[in-house]
Amino acid sequence: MSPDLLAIEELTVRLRTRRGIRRAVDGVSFAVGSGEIVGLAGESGSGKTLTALALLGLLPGGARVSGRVMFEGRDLVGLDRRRLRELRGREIALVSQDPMTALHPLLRIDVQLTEHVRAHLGLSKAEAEARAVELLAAVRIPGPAAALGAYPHQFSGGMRQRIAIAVALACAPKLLVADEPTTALDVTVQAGILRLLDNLRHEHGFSVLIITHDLGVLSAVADRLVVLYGGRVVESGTTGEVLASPRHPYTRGLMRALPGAVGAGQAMTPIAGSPPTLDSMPGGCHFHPRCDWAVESCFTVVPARREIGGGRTLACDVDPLRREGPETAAADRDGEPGLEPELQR
Amino acid sequence: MALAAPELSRRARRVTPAGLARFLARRLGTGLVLVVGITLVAFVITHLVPGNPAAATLGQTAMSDPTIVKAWDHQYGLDKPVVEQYLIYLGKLAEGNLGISEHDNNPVLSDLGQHIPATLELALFAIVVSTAIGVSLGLLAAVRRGRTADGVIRIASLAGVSMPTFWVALVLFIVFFSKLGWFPSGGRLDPGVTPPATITGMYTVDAILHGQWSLFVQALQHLVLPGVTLGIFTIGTMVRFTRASVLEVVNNDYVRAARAKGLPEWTVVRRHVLRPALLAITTVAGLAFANLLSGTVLVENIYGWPGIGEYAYQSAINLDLPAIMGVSMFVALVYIVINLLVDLAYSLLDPRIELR
Repeated sequence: MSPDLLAIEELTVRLRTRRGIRRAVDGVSFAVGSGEIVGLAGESGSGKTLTALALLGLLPGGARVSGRVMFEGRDLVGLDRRRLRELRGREIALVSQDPMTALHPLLRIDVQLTEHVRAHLGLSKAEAEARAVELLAAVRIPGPAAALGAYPHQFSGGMRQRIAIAVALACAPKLLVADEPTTALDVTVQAGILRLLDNLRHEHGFSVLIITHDLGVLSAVADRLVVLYGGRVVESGTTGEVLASPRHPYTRGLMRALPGAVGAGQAMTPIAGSPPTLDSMPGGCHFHPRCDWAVESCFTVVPARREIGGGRTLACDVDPLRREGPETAAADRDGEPGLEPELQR
Repeated sequence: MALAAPELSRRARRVTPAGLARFLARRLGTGLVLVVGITLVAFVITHLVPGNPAAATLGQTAMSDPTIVKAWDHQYGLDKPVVEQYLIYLGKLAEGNLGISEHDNNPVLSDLGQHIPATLELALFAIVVSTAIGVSLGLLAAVRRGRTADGVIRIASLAGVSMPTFWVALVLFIVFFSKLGWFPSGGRLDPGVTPPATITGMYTVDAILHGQWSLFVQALQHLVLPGVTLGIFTIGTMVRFTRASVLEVVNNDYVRAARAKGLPEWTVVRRHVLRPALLAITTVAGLAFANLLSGTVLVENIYGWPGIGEYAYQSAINLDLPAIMGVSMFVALVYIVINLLVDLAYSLLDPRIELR
């Protein structure tokens, strides 16, 4: 693979809450190669959206960032605001979660599709509009020329997300950050959007960082997965391998919570408990209160993230899969959670 | 799918002449019903109020002579049953006749025509100044949320909505007329100065139309103190409302999307934040303008401004029934017309709203 387009190293985002300063993103590292689709997975509060906002320089006012965000060899952390602004929309573009709200309701499509093109690339109005028509055609909007004069409310949700993608691609960025790009859409529309993203990245050669809680979405398009929990990377690797043999208890929990897609025929099992909030972040491994395999050391020791071969990393000292083997791991899905691991110890 | 394109282009034209005509016709109809309803309410109230119009107008000697009182009542139709009086009033109203003032014997319509331009000028000045200041300060407070500027502006706007008008008038009067002498004390022009020939009746506008620049400056100077006194409450309201609606807008995804596009911050604020915020502000500004137009009694009285507020005040203390009715009609029309204009503005500003 060509050198990484984006390399995030030890990214930490500190937020001020009522009870003090908390690390919402805690030493996150991962890379996105050229033309690659990387999925950042995690529940709400896992720090995935903050990671994305940090690399766009769009974090809320009181947030403090440390670590490095290397984009084409330049560190975006600490880059001055103007440089960062010139980079945004042009080199790194964002596709927001909800297409119903990500497009401005009062501005016509042509304005939303050309304003940044004209600002960044210095095109004339006519040139920018010609480009806008091409873009709308590229995201398969029927009647692209007429669509330019329309307003967002005249389109369906799926069409709006296509337009939002066209807006993001308008300046031919090298990296597309897609924050839950399909969450707000009907399931039938989701697949179309994902296929579109996949096709476009092959045609245009940009990289994509998809942020979602939905492993099903990632299994469809992502080349690699980075799983976040409580602001830390718990597991990463190629999508195929991570989904075929998840090693971290949290990843396994996520997959068991998935409807059918991965473990066909099995009932969905939600992960017990709920993700921690910033003010209630447990010590040691953040996942231990919800983990069936937790041992005493999990309560106090932060598990180091280590290479486990095949380009995969894991941050779990118990590593149930290696201890139990794949067969027992599969078996205890049916058993009462928490009992069997107890016996094995 | 193939149908989508032509349909889009048709829907993109939101305000068609036919649609506008239908909208206006419907609103005219409801407006008419409203006006009739308001005449009824105003008529009943003015006639229920204890008080004797004859006593208010005639002198004490005339009042002691029953034949004079009777003749006076007869002249104005006050000896007829109230229902008949009302029907006569409605009939005349349909002909555009608002009756004769019992106080100055002029037709009420021409009295209104005399006084409305002065108030219109004052209210326009007040709404323009207070909207400009209010929206700017509100925007500044929202952008600097939680910082010093925000705090100062919020306290000032709270003061603006809390200070009673008569007190503001006195303070401005003392400071800017008595102490500093920057602005005249009252009236529309300096004493003895001939107003510009009437076109609109608004001295500043007429002076410009006639090219009388020094007269324009003088009329403008006379507008400042009553205009600011009148507008200070509105400034406070606009600041608070603008701040609130801007803060509501900035949290929207589309604002983050605009920032993610790498647009200059000023473009984000002007195009993506202020526009939707202005939508909400339009309503407030419209209502504020209606309030300004109909709420000038105190200010006009203090600054000797010969407008509709002063006329209303004189009519009320003289129990001049046709004049009171005339003023009520004016206020009703102000609200009807301004609501209509606000709705029109809304449909122009927000593509999602269709005129109905």
